[in-house]
Amino acid sequence: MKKFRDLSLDDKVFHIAVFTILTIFFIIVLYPCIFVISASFSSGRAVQAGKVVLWPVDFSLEGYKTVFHTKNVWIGFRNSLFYTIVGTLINIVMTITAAYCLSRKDLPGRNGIMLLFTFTMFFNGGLIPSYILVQKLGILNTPFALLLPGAIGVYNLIVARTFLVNTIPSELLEASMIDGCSDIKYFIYVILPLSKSILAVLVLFYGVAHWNAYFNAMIYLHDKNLFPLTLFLREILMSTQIDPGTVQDPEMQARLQDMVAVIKYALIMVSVVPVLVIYPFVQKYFVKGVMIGSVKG
Amino acid sequence: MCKVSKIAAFGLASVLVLTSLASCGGSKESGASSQSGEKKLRVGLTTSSMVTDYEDNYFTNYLEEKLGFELEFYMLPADAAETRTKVALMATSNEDLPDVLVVDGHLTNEMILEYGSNGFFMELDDITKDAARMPNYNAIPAEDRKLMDKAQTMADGHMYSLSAWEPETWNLTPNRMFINKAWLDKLGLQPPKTTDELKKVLIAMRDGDPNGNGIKDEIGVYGFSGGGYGENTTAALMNSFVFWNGGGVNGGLALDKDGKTVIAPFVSEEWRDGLRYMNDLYKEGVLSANIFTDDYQTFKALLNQDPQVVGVTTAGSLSNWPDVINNANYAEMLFIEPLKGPKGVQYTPYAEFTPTQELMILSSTDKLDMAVKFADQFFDHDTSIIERYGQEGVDWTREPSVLAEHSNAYIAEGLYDKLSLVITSTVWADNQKQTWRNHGPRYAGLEMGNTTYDFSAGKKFDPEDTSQLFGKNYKMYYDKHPQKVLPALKYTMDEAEQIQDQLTTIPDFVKQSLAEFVTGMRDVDKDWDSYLKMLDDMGLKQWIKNAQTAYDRN
Repeated sequence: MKKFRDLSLDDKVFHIAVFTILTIFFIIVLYPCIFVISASFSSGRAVQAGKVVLWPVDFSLEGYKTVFHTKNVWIGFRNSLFYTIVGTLINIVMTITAAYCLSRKDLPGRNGIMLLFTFTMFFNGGLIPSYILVQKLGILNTPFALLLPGAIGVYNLIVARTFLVNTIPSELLEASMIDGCSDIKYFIYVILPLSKSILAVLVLFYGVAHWNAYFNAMIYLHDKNLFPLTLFLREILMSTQIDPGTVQDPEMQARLQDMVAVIKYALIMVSVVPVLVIYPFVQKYFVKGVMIGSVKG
Repeated sequence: MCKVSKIAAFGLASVLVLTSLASCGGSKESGASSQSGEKKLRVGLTTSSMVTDYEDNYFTNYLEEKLGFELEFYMLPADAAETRTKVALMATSNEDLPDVLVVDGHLTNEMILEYGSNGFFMELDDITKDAARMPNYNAIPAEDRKLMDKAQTMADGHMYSLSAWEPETWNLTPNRMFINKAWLDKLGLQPPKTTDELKKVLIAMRDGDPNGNGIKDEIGVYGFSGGGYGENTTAALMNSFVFWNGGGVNGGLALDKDGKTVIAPFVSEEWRDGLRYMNDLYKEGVLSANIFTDDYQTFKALLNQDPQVVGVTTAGSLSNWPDVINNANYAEMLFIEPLKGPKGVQYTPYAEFTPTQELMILSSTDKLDMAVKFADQFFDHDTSIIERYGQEGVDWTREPSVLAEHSNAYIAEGLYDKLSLVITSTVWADNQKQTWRNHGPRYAGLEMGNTTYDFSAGKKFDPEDTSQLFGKNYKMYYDKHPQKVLPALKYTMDEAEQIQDQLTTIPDFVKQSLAEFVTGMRDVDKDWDSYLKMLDDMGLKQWIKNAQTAYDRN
């Protein structure tokens, strides 16, 4: 890499332009994050009055205190953690095994099976049939309603399959077979260790999706003890939006907003932090894995 | 190798957790199936994020004790749209349903009609009339009960839901107008009583730099038109020319002077005069165009800016000035009557109190008697209080000695003799497990609502306190509307279908055009006819016709 002053004039202009544009984008992306962090450490009144611009105003931990004293938040946190870990595990097992089979050229009817998978990307039963299906399976209002539907994300399956096809030469299979390796052993001892980067990508994709998922939980669950954190978060966010047509007592509702303003941002922080903490560890695989999977596909 | 076994161990552990959780879910289910014998009523209840616990909840326990059977909850989302989705799914799948629904007013009349007429909700006409089955409901004073019956009767003439009747005068006229008294004093002016006086005052404010910072930053009339609780200042000003409810209920339709004909105020000549007036204020630079673009956050921020920049605004809630008692910006404000227009019109946006539809019994229930008993309990006097305010002696009191110590703004204005209830805890603003946050039907007459005092902040009523406006509001605003006002209309499914588009597009178009006329993007004189033509093309006539039919059926 050349030093900046050694560059030609054209390149200098180019670099300056690129850096300026990127800096602007960086600020646009960064500002909302900083705002949420600052607001979560400010007093509710300052947030309501719009006094928080960049840094916390009237520093206060009121929001966090309220959040951590709420039983529902802990229930939600526990459940979200469970759904994320177990759900991701199921996703990974299902996806990588399916992807491996589909990457083997000697699988009979491979294209047909792939077509069936792809078909579901464009067409699905819709809300009501899905609901009835879940109900008939007897998993309505159980954790399985969040774990089993969508156990394979077809997009992720394609990424994983492409990765396996492109990075693991079929000669490896031949070599292993000659050494007396069975299909299962080949999968466990050869394929899995070689696909760490794609596994990391899948973990991130699925994990984040599980952590943020709320719609299925909203539809399929009606027992508060099973609700993920997102449902509780949404409940609190919803109560800040006044729709006087449906609210009996707008005056009371309006006063409630002060209270809600305090906890809203703190709760957002609480729900985002786990993802933020994990992300840097997975991120190094992330770019690599998803690029290998997609570009050559 | 080592890593693989680690993964395997992790997987095994997760499977163990999964199965243990699954078995716990399973045991719950077997519990649910054996309950039909055990007599538990299953209540589909719209949740509130402020309620921390529904099982170990004072109101739940209170109800169970009164009713003599246990309640089991089927949680519905707090958001209206999501509740609607969920109820729709329940109606299609028609299995594993609760016995009753408590929906916090989330279902529209049209939905109740649809689910009622197709038999998902039970018809309640006879049950509500039967004093043996619903003693508390039938004990409601006949006059109010008649209104409740009427509100509960859908367009097909049947009743499928029970409502919450809790009129509070404060909420019916939210467009309370405030003017900056400190500025008036500085400029030596009197509070305006008419629209013309307002204009003079505003111009003086514009030129006189009343906030004394040497900059011409005073913005005169401010508000935000998207506001749902009195923040739309243009609606308040329009009511000095023609009565308009602000566009919410019935999309802004109104009744003619005869009290019989449905009309659209926004096509009248008076409306045009109102537009001219506001356009004039805009041209003088004393009515901010931000009214049409700002949102709630900005509105609140500007109201609280230091130094004060707002001369006139309307707002329903004093919480727009946080910590209102000590708020310096609010201290400058004076609450004034609606302004009189050039033709003597002096109205304020007003919508009749409409009870919300709260409770439905599902036809599929096999515990009808329990469901009816449950529904009726809500209309019991004490239950109605507890539902809203919490536990007696903890959250509120009616101890005569305590009541005698307190007063409220209505009593100070001489509207009532004495209080009936004093609120002693902040249960309404807290995360709590004392109530369901007033979800459910209820009966609380106007007197009951107006004879309470909220002592939760530990501050006794002070007649000098400028934030105690209830009494003033009642005197200055409550009767500022035509004698007969169009009630919230109930359309049949056919009627609703015919005017589906109109119901959303016309109110939006009216609001948008109002902004354009006021800010001069459309000319009140030249573009008025094309505005009328546009409304005609959008099907205004059909809408008014259907509204008339729905009103006549009433």
